[in-house]
Amino acid sequence: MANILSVEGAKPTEQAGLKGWFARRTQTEGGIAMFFVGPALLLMVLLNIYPILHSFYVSVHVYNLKRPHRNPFVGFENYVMFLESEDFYNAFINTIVFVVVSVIAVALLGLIFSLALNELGAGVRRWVVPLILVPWAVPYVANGLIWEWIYHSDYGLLNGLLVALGVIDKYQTWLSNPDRALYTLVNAFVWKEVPLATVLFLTALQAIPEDLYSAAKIDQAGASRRFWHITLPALKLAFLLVLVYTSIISIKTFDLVYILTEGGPGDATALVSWYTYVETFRNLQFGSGASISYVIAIATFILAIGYIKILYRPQES
Amino acid sequence: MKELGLSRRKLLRNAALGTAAMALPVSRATPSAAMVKTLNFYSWTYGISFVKQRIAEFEKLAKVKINYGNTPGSKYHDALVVKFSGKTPLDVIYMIDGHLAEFVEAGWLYPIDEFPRVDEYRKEFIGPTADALTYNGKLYGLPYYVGHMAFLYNEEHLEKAGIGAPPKTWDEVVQQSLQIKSKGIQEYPFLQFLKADFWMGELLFTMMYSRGGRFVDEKYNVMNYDKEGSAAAQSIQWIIDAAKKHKITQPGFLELNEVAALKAFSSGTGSFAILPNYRLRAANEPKSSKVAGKVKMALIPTANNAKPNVCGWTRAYSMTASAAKDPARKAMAWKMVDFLGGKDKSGTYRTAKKWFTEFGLGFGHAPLFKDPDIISAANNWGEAKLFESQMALSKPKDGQKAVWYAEWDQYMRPRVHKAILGQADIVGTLKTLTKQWNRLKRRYG
Repeated sequence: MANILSVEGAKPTEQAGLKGWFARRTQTEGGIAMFFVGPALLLMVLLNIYPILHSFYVSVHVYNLKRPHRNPFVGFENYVMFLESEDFYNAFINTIVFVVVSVIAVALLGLIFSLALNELGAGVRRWVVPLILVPWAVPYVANGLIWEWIYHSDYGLLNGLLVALGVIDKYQTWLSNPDRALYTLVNAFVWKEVPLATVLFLTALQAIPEDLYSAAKIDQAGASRRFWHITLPALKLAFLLVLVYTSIISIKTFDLVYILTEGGPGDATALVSWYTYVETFRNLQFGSGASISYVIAIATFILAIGYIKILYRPQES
Repeated sequence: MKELGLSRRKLLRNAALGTAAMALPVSRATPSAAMVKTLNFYSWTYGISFVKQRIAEFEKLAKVKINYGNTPGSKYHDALVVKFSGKTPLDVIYMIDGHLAEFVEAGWLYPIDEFPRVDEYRKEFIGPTADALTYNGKLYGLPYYVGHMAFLYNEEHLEKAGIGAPPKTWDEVVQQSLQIKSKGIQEYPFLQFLKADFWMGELLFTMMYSRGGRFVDEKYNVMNYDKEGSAAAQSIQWIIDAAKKHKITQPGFLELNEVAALKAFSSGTGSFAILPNYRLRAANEPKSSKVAGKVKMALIPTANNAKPNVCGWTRAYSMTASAAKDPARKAMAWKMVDFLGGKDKSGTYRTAKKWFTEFGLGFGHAPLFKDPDIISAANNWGEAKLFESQMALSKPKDGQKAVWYAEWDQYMRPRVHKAILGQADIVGTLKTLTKQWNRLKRRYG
């Protein structure tokens, strides 16, 4: 392949200096690719890889900002310390509950809404889809503040609505009730994340050829058989996307805890992300904060790989 | 000269360098604040319009541009940690006395003892102000305001219930609350806020101090804190009884923060509340309060024949260590700290005075207690003498100058919540808190 960047009439290898070096490097397809990809790659290394490596370095040292000049190497002591901590264990359990309930709710509701939307005419759908995306577009902090108003035990909208509907006879506590608080956070999370899942499922639904359903109807397959044997298998990739995305986002959830509960009442809503935040920015223990972040990142990565192994088959794509 | 390897040009250049080198210490010795074109100032969000007004005045006076940023008070500590650890340029900041130790140890603050007029100011600090802003013998700022928790009551509710005087003891708080409740004036007369945030410590210390309790002594040894029947245990038990037995506090008090509590009280919810003293001004402000003119302050109720002590605090204008690295910037930063926290040309603590008359924020300067404008403003929404009495009985949180205090405070919040919720035993919780305090003391001591 001719070098697209070489000067006409001059042999690249004969050119001297920087220009010649550059021309020689871009003689191959790989060289040209590197020319275009290189700057972005460099930026990625600087912005992603370096912090990852640096945070690992921090995680194996004592990095307490209250003792800024004492940073001895401690190996995996920070990791052992938080894994043995009762507070971390509690946050870990809370996080598992939060993630499992959230992911199931987002996937199920997203699927139900997308099936309903798929039945609507294209004209109506064009208006409805942007509208249902509004909660997803709301910033996380704003989402927290909205739910603070909704859940408030004295003047919250939820209490007002439930009393008006006769579901409850007096105002209830939502955020300060240890049995409910975590699920109120799940609800706020699901409200925000369902729209994107809905759109992802809807896109996959619309890509299913109508012929398949027609053929199935000819074969006298009922609605449920068509759903289980045509619709659901066709949604595998959409499921993969929704599960991976929602799992990662739910494991990382911090804003709702920060705005709504600060981990309380007691430690009922302390998630691992909150625990990491407190350890890092409240206790100024950057070393142990980094070690927890590392474990969360690895756990998230393993979970994503698990989903891919279970749901993704290259030939199906 | 050529033989010596020195050209005329080199000789002249070296001579110029030598002259510059000799001149350098002189310029270091006399740094000029005028060389600084911008200064970075960071605060929490309170009275922003007034802060901006003072900034504009300072910019004009000092011919400097102020880059001003702010964040809500409850998130202020965390925001500063992020900024300092990310090396965001900061020169002058608001400082919370409870965070002084850790910020100094982190190398983020610079002491102001070396500057002119500091000794003069220090002599006029009230009560615990100088101590609150001093760490390892050095002063780290001038007071922005001095405050304490205060017992507020809605006079109209008491009158309607036939109560002649506000309660003097915690038992009377219960009795009067039940009386108000029984007459249908308020379902939950004692407005409690106890979200696990920044204010939780101030509130719990107030309840403990007013029962004669202490947490640690000057050497950070835990006192009678975790014993059966201690003031701390009594305080938590009182909170539980008020909520569950007497039902005089609203059920959602564990999710209520200080600002929300003020809003609720100002809208007429609750007959009694413990709030920061400066909130009395806001609660009596007709523009923002439905109960303006009806909210009064009383000395904190007590138990065990204790003095009506409350938890107090000092907030300061402080200079950062990064500002002090450059002599000219240091001079300008001090100028700003002095402008905001010191006296003006007429010898008045102008900013502090305005904070009190306009916003009700207490001050850390003794002469202001005698200022006629202050007395007049105080009597507009309360009683000046009562303010002075309660201020004199305020004490900072025990142990807050230990470098590990903030870490312990964070550890304490969920555990006290659990004790209130009945998920943990009160004395057991206090023993756990003591154990954690001692563990941190050993680690940092």
